[in-house]
Amino acid sequence: MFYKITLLIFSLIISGIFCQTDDEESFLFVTKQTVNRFIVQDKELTIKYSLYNSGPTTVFNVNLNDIHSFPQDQFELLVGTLNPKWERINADTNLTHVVVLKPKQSGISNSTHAVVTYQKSEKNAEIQKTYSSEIGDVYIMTSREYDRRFSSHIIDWILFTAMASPCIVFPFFLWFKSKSKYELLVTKEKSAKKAQ
Amino acid sequence: MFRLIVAALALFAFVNGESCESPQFKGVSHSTRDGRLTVEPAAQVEITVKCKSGKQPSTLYADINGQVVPCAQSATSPGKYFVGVAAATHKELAKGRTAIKLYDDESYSSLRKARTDEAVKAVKPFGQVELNHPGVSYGPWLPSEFFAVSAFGVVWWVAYRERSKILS
Repeated sequence: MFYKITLLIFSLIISGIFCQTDDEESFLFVTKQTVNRFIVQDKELTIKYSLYNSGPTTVFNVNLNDIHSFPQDQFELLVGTLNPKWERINADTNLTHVVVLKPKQSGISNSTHAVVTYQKSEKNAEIQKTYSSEIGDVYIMTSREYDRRFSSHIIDWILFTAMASPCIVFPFFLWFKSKSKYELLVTKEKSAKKAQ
Repeated sequence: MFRLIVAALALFAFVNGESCESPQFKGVSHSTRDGRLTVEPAAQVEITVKCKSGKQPSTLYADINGQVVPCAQSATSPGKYFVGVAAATHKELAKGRTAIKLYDDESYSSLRKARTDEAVKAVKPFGQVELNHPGVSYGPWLPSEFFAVSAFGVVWWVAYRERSKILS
């Protein structure tokens, strides 16, 4: 009986120690966000990955993989890489990784979590896997929709002026012709009177 | 004979372990330029290092606004290093050229060992690249409607003047 109690107490102490070592290990937090207000087809879509090593120790061999979220047939990669890696991230460090893509299609698109793998110690090859936050369902608007709200419309105004000008120029031309004819008549009369 | 083999191996190891000699840095920077399309600014510099001899640095650290962070490397295409910069508002990301000092493993460890400000400044960086942010644009200053209204207003005013002359 006494033997069992000591064994129980001993095992509790050991498990307590292991729980404490869990607290001392680092954890990598990864957030994935877009800085765009609107996501427009054929315009740049900027994705920002923030990695934060919260723990007291360094993490090694960090590998972020987000190739599955943005397939090549729907998105074109302009800047950055969707599969970056860092050899080590020190404790209490905040990192940013920026990727710029260009959506090829419009409509609703779903983007899932990025997968991040890292090692908690250099010697221990055990790989810890974590997931970033996700952006979720986004609506990619067509470039026409965006232009309707935000483009400078100069071409539209030029076209409008070209279409409205016959209404204005044609009566003006008629008036100008008759005015110049009338003025010519008046000057002829005046010169004729003077001659008399 | 054995000594010769050992010496050859040592020389081989020495050559392979040599760090990058006379590196040349090239940085291509990209930043968010449209203030209406994006809410926050984000910038990225893609760094390529060319070594005259020796192998590419295994890790590169960049000093951004006082904070030294490791550079990301592409798992698919080696030799390229990425540094990302983010800020909360468009005004906080400095316009123009910002110098980013680069450190390799050796210079980074001496930077970490430095305790005083003078020692930190004395550490010679591995290299330097620039982040070029041309600035943010929020669209044209005057909208095109302004020009259209003023042009039509001028035409109307000329016509009104002529009409007044005729009627008077």
